[in-house]
Amino acid sequence: MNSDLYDSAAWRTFDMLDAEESAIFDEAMRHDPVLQSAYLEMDRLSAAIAVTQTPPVKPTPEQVLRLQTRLGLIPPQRSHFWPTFSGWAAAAVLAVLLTLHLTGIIDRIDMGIPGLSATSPPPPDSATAHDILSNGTTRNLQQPSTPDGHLPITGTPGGGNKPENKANAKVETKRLNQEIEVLRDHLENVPNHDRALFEVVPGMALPIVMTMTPPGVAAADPAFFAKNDEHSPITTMLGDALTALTGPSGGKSVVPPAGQADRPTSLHKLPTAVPIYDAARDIGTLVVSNLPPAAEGETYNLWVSTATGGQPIYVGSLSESSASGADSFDFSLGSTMVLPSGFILTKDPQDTPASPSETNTVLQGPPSPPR
Amino acid sequence: MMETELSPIHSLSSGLCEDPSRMAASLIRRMANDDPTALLELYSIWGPVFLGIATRMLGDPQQAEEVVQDTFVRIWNGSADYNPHHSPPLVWAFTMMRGYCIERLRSRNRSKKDASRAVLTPLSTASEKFENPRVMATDDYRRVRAALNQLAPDERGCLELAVFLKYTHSEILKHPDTPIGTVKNQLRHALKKMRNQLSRYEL
Repeated sequence: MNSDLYDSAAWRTFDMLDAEESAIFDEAMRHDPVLQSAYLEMDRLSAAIAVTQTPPVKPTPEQVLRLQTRLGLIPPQRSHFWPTFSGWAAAAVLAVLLTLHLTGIIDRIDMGIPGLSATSPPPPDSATAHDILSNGTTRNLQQPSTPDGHLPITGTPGGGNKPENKANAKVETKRLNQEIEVLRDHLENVPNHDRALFEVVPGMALPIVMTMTPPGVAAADPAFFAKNDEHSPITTMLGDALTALTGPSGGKSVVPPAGQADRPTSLHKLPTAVPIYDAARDIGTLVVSNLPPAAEGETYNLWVSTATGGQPIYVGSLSESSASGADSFDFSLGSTMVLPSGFILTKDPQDTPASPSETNTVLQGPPSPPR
Repeated sequence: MMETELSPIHSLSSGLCEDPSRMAASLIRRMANDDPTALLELYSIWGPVFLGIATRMLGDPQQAEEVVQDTFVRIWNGSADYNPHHSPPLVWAFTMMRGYCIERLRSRNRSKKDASRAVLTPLSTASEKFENPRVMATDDYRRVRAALNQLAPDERGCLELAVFLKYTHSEILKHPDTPIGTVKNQLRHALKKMRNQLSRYEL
């Protein structure tokens, strides 16, 4: 038996081949039952490992419903987000009322009611209806009247196209209602997607990543993050996830708020740290930047706080940092049952770590909420 | 210590993921006859497992739901063409779902908009309490777990990551510093050991 056969089957199963190699493999498999058998065996093994090693995630009733709806087994049912729905419904009603109102004006003109000019209004075309909807006003209907007190209505003379206008209005109303439906669906889907993306998956955990800043530096201090992240190794490591903190300028030219023009300079060399912790494996790394070396007889100590409260838990002390002040330290909490809600770095006399307090805390994360 | 030469033995794990009670095959047959209750029953059996696996592969519960939905739609539409002699039902469905996951991962890497993947990791190793004999025979769970336990931690980690599509071609292109040679070597050893270990159970 050729073990390469199994290797090739494995690389194909795990999608480790490029497009050309995959095509060659698939072609060979069509003519070679032994290769087919090896590939099926890899599929069996892969499925068995995946099933054995993954905790199940119970589908919600809505997920079952969505599947049935998609297959046409039950008629579609809308989940109503009433505030949104009522807003759009109000807009739809407003559009219909305004359209009817326009039609009424047309009728009055057609009947020659005094006070109105002899000219007929334009059909309520899409632009007019759109303006009404998008601006939320009846701007086109409330323009100043002409000096003789008549509404400044212009258009083709004569009123012979009334049925056409009515038909147009109906078509337009229908079209707007459809647009409203589509927009409403989109609007409903946006929060749904975000909610699903960040919802808790039972039995699973995302790695914990947070920024630690000196006490008193607010989380939303753009000047601080702009200056400190510019050359941070963690910025390169985490890419856009952290640069986003510095705003759309990408951390290069953040303009400080008025009255804080001097802050970037004063904050420029303040230390920061980013702990990255995988609770599932109890493996963590603390990446520090601009952290000055501890003085003789002193050491930096890392602590972790949990959502359950209580005293912070001592994790360990940092070995001596590099001269550049940027370094990384591996740590573990000794148990996968600890889910950190915050990290604290203190500076204490060597071998005598004291509980974090205002006096010895150097960095803390997550940063203080913005004031 | 001399390392024992491990030689692959053909079709050692052929019994894995079989459908001994033919329950899944029977449900698929009922689906071919447009029986929606069969779909719901199969979804109640496979849905949780597939959702868990897809979530782990994609790192996005929303996309995982879509992928599982795509899979069940395809099972429903292709139920009439399913041939149990080609592959067991679970393997057939799993392969389809993995294909959809690979498509999603490739698409992410192509668009470069959302190429990042937060790889979810289980908070605890799947244990006996997750076993569902309606999904896979209890003996299969035991065999696979025992075989995985024989692997060195590196090999086991590597194999699990490969199964959960961490080393796909597009992922490796994205991370050129991934030592693909080392990965393949570890996988090769892990697979050999797995096959040999599983063969012992066969005997």
